[in-house]
Formats: sequence, structure tokens, C-alpha cells
Amino acid sequence: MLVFSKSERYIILTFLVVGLFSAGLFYYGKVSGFEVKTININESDSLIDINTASAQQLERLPGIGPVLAQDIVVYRQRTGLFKRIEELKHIKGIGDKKFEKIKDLIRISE
Amino acid sequence: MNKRPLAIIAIFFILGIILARSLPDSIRFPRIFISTLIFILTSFIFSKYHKISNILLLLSITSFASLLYINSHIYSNNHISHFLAEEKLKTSIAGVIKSPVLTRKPYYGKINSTYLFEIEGVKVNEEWLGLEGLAQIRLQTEKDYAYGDRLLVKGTVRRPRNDNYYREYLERQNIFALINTKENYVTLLEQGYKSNPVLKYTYLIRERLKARIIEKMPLEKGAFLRAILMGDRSELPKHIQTSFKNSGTMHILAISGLHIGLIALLVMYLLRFLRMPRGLYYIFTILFLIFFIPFTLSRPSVMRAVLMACVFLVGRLLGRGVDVYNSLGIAAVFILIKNPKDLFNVGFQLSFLAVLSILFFVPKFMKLLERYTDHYIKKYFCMSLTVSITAWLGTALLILYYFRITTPIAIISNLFIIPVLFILLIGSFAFFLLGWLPFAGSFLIGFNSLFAGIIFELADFFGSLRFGHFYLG
Repeated sequence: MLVFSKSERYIILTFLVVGLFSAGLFYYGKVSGFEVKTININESDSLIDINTASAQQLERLPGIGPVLAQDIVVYRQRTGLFKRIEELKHIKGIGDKKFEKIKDLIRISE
Repeated sequence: MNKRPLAIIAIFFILGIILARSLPDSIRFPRIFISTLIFILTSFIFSKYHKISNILLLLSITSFASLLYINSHIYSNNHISHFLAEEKLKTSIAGVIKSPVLTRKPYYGKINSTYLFEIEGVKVNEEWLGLEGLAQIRLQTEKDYAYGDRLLVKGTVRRPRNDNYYREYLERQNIFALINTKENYVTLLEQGYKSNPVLKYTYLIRERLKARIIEKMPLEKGAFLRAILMGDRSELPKHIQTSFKNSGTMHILAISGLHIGLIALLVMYLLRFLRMPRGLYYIFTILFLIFFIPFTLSRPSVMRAVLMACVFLVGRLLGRGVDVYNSLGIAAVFILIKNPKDLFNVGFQLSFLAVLSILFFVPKFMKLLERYTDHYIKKYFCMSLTVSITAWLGTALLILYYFRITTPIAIISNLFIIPVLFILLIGSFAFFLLGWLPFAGSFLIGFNSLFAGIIFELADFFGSLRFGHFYLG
């Protein structure tokens, strides 16, 4: 029952040789990198631009509901574009606590 | 000539993986690589001496399997597993969604969705480190994400806790991290990032069919249909899962031979009806079955059933008989080459043991019952009974070990539930094909609801019988 013919042995051994060297290459690929590289992730893509975002986009910010989002848009239209993110605190409903929650999620386009 | 070469290869392959698990840590990849190479070369050198060459061949197979198992535990320097501790790390993570939604559950008024997430980088001390590895990401969000969505998230990342071997269970699937985040902290950077187009469209079809079931079918019955057709039991209510567990019919929630056999038959008959030439409809059926593997998220029971069905169909196409043990062997070797850790996956073990038990014992039992099988109804009944008994016998000890339950009632409950399931599967496929037609759609919804309801009642009935099931400990 455990006997293979010559041709069966050759076929199996050929597959084993290919498999063995593939496994060797994979292993070498895994262990040959000595340093962990740094990469570039453009975080500004993830931040909401408070000068260009719509009310709907602003609602994504924690603690900013539809009313407050609209207030931000109205403020922007009345007083012009924000020059610093801290100017958001001038809007009624955005105090220090709320600002702390959203400050890492927003930006101002240059 | 050996009648079952692939079955033999599978046995020694499995032995190799088991051996590798018990090897001490000091035995490393280079040593096993060299020993495998020596076995292979000496098998070639001694090819004139058949016995010696055969022994060396079997040792080569065993050693190669050990090598693959050891290799599956080696990770590159930038693998996420080297960077995580037991404590949560609150940081930014970038990566790509690598699956359709795995689970979607309500959680304190919100929805939690989980996906497979391939990590690209983690922010550590204001620097983005290029890391790799698979994580399970849980998003508190109403929004749907898709395979290939590249995300930047702010949340917590940690190693899975090791309660009830959960960490081991995830690591067998190469998942090494759990990420939690909320919708507000998720940014979609790109869609279709490094995505395989075949997988992308397969998952798209899966989500569309899932949405159609959710839209048209009642809640619990729709969840049941999603379980038996797509392998998604995440939304099946716990009390229904318990009924199936207690009645010994939990296996019907895992897509396997019955489902695959039915799909193959339906597809072939449909293509024959369309007057497709024989060779072509065999090839299309094989391709359709292969498509079903990623469609059901590549579970071991599906892969086993599809591979066996494909081997059978290829054999028929070439006009050659196929030994079932060989086809079982091919399926096992294929799955274990892809991921040797699957050998210790309970789904893999139950799936193969059940089939092996049926293949081995049913012909023997049927021979004993020969005199009772003179009529086709008696034969059908005897066959069903022997399959039920042998499947239960083959898996009872394993189920007792893993789940601390034994269900003698399974022998009877399966006799009733499986035929009804068969009818429901036909109705479900008809629903996918014809459900968009106004009259046919309503009829099929009613039909499927009825038969799903019958299955629930039967599972509940058998699950609640005294002495039908016993929990240990």
C-alpha cells in the first residue's frame, strides 16, 4: 500500500523540489530584512479642512451635529476663511472641551 | 502501482505537521530544510532500490510538511506581531480592507462591523512604521466599507486576549491584531487599492445577494438562508444556533458536501438545458464551484467539498474513475499547503473526519443491510440512516472534546432535517435566479420561509427532547 511506482516517485519528488526551494525563497524573504522601514502616509488627506468642508462633512467630527456644522459654515461665509483652527472657539457651542476633541481631526488648507 | 497515492501523501503530510508541532523551538527552518533536501536527494540516488527509495520519499513528504508548518510561524521583522504587547496601543493605523463585512452586530444603539484588515503602517512616536500583517478591525459605523478600501484610522490596536484559546484561533487564520475605532476616526483614502478584480467582483455579488435576502426575507429566516448559502451565520439569533447545536444539526450551518453537490447538479442541469456541449458544461461547473470558495470566504469545509467535487468532475470529463480517498487526499494537501495551521482548526477536523467516516463505514453498513434494500424507498432510508450514524460516530468524540456536548439525537434529527434542507436549498437557488420576477419572487419567498420555518421547528423539537443531548462539565 505504501509503494509508489518509479514514475510516481519522480513526479512527487519533482513537486517536492519545487516546493522546497519556493519555501526557502519565502523564508529568505522574511528574514533578510534587517530594518523596519518608515513609510509616507499623507495624514492631511484624513483631516477635514474647515475652510472647504461642507456642513455634511463637518458633521463627521465628534460632537458636531447638523446645527453646529451649519453654524460653522455660516460663520465662515460671514467672517471669511479661518486662519487658525483655534478660531472655531469663537462659534457658540464650541468650547475648550469640544475643541480638544476635534483639533486633531481638522486642518486649514494653505 | 499504488491505488491511492494521494491519500498516502496526505497521511504523511499530516504526520509531518503534527511532528513539527511537537518539535522543540531549537529545531529551526534551516535544519529541516537541509534534512528535507537530503531525503529528496537520497530518494533520487537510491531510485533503483524501490523499498529504500519509497521510505525516503515518505520521509521527504513528512519533512517537507514540517518545514511548511515551521515556515508558517516565521514572520518578517516588520510583522505586526513583533510590535504589539498585551496592553492597548492608541494610535493611527493605515491599511486595506481585505474582506467583505464579517459580522454586523448592534452594540448599545450603534452598529459594530468587523472586517479583515491588512496593515500597512502604524504611527509610533510621530513616525509611520511600515508594518505588515492581518488584523480584525471593528468599526462602530452605519457605513459600509468594501474589499480594497484603503483606510486611515485612529483607534486602539492590541493583541487578541487568550481567553478560551481565542488568540490561538485567530493566529491560525494569521490574524494577529484587533483594531477598534469609531466612524468619526476613519478616513477612506482610496478605493480598490491593490485589489484582486476576481475577488472584488465575487464580494460585490455576495453583498448584493445578501442585501436581496435581507430586503425580501423575514429576519430570522433570512439570517438562516445567509448561513446556509453564504457561510454567514453572524446574524443568526443565538437561540436558533442553540437549537441546532442541541439537536446535533449544527453542521448544516457549515457549507459542505450537500450544498456543493446540489450546486454542481443544478448548474450542470441548467447548462445542459441550454444545450451547452458536454466538455464545456463540465468546465463551467468546475469554474462556478471554484468561484464559490471566495464567495463563502474560503472556509475549510467549502474548500474540501469543492476540491473533491472538482476532482470528481475532472475525472468524469476525462472518462476516468476517481477514487474518493484520493480526492479527499488532494483536498487535504491543498488546504494544508496553503495554511498548515488549518490542521488544528476544528472546522477542518470535523469536515474531514465526517467525510472519512461516511466513506469508510457506509459501504460496510450497507453490505450488512443488503437484504433490506430491495426497494428504492427502503434503500434510501437505510442509506440515510447509515450516513447519519457514521457521520455522528466519526465526529462524536471530537465534538465532545471541543464543545463538551454529545448529541445522540443527531442520528434521528438529521434523517428529518436534511431532506427538508435539500428542498430549501433548491428553493433558495431558485430565489437567486428568479426572485426578481414579480410572481415567482413572492412565491419563492413564501416557499423558502415555509421550509426554513419547518427546519427551525424540527431543530427546536429534537433539541428539547430529554436525553437528546448531554453537556459535560
